[in-house]
Amino acid sequence: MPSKAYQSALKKLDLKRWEAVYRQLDAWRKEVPPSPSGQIAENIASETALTLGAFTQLLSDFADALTKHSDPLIAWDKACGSHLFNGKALGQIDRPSKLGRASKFDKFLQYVKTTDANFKTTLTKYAGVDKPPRFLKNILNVQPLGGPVIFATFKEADSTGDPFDGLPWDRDAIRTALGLGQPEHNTPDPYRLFRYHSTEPPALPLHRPTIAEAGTFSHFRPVESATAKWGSTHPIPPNSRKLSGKPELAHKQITGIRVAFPYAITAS
Amino acid sequence: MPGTLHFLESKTRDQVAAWLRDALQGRAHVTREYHDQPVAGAISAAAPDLGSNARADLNAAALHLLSGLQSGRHPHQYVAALLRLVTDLDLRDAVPILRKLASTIPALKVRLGWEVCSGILFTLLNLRDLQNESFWRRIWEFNKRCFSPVTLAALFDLDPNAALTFLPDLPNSTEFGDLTALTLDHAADSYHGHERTRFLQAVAAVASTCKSHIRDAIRTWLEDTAPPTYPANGRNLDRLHAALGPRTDAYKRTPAKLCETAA
Repeated sequence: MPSKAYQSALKKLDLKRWEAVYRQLDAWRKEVPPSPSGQIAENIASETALTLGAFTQLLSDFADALTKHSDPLIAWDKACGSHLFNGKALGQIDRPSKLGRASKFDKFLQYVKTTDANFKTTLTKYAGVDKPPRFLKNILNVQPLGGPVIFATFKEADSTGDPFDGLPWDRDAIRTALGLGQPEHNTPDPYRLFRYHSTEPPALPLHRPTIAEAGTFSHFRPVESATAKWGSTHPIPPNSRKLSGKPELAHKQITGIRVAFPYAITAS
Repeated sequence: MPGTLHFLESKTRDQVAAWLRDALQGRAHVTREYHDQPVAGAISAAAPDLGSNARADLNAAALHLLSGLQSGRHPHQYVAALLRLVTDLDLRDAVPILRKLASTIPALKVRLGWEVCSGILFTLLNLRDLQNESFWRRIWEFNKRCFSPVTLAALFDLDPNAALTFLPDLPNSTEFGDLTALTLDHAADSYHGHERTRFLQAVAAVASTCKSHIRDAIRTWLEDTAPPTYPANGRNLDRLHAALGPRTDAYKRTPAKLCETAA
């Protein structure tokens, strides 16, 4: 069932743009066999976290991007790129002070000026170490902890608590509960689990995530309630351990300077 | 994700190359296994599911695009993604092409810039083509600041003990100090028992001849890691401190907020 926000935003478009968006989302939904694009279309139609103005502009930009890019998913990605962090920012009272993020090793490789083997061995060696050597702290301090958009989780019952509390620390459980995607069947790589501070100055703006931050990632799910303060991850099926979704926020790229040691590496 | 690239199986080799060029430049969609997965990672993760012909076409396309770096100008991000893909696919057939590119660095840097040249050299290392000491010393002479990290990594991969003589030549900065400590930390793990002790003693000896930031990073690394076999006793530590001279405390000056702003 499309959200009211989506229906209202669609109505605000001029006829040409309305037709372009409607046709594209319909085509995605009807793909056989069902594809990730179909889920992206469902997500767009279910979004509740954007204001009418922001939602309308996003759809309008999508319609314009469709005329410039032959691949509709690239068009959606481009449109999303200029509408990041339009979800409501968390107020001072609601802000969790400790966030958690599961990251793959390849995020670091493009920035660290050493060989893959050197850095991979070093990161693995010092996982779980309370006081890692200074050089590693210094290197992590200047490395981005993720891409332009970072999704983070936290402990809802105690915002200063361990964001990964209650989760089994194996790769499959983390991937499933945090909705990180399908199992990597070819080159499974463990997750690095980082806990970091959001309150240390400068305070990090934290937003309820929207379809724009998710872009073409189809495992994101909008939250039904328009008034929710944060999002929720969607556990990846089959979820045989019945893991619950975790609260989810989005924020801009940060470096590892906020990381609280020790970090961890999931078991295989 | 299984089957993500199966559409390549109906394409010709030229079409695969055209698609790959577009994908690496963000002009063709690639389904990612997780939200912020780099494009190269998504392609290399899905590649094993391809049939042997399509897999061969994909590899050939990557090599073709790599050869294309020998002429023309290319966006930095595209080259970085291509080099990442070559590494992730473990394309050993790329080594001769990379060597050829490395042999033309003075011309290459005019078209692609020093950072891309450094990326090409790191790709050689990641594909385990270590060359020899004179090769890396020659490379380093082209641009000592830009090529110090790759030369440092290469020389230590070749022979950690011999590579210690390179440390006094490193430019004086906290960044190079940290990279030195990381490289030493990795190298030291390849030694055990007396060999490790001898290596650490050699590190301490050469540290006193290094520039201040490098020397401080080495000293801090020796203190932080506190390997059980070093120092053998307190007098060794005293001698090390005396040999290294006064500390400049470069680490205390990490510009925390600046780091984040820059990112």
